[in-house]
Amino acid sequence: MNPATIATAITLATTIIDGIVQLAEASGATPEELLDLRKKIAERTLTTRSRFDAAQEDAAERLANG
Amino acid sequence: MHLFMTPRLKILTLIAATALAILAFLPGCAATPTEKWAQAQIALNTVENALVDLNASGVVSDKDFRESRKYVYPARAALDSAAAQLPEGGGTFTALLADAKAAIAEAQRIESEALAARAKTAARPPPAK
Repeated sequence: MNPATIATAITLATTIIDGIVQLAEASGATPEELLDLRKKIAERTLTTRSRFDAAQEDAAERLANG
Repeated sequence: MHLFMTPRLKILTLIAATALAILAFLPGCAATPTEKWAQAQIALNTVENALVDLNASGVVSDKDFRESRKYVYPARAALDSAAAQLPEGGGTFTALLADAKAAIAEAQRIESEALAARAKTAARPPPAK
């Protein structure tokens, strides 16, 4: 298995596990803790969206260049 | 999993299936509007990351990857609008969340179909020499 595949698996697994942990922490959370949850997710979301958007631009360029 | 799936495909298929299974289970765990929103946002982040990685590894074509933005961008917009309704939630929030989940499901469909197509190709026996 090549390093790229391992990196892919780790990225996906980390996203899923982080999500489960965050939701478990949110159960019975106070309003302040829920706000903290939103902030944590917002940070992760920003990174994810930047990555997706950058990849979209690359894909568009590849398609345009044929 | 099929014997002819490559190790990489097995890993990616397993992760995609696990994500879908977990996300199907999670609705029972989400109570407050914030938790429901968080669940949906995490699901969308997972799908976006998966699509990027699957496109990078060639499982999702550039054409299908570009197609996915028709669902990802509306899902993002719906979740951003839904976040503005927090922490109270309400009817508008519920409707926005439903829109987001429908769009996320469509984006996940692109992911699943690409994995299924790749698995089918991998399962074909090699041409006779």
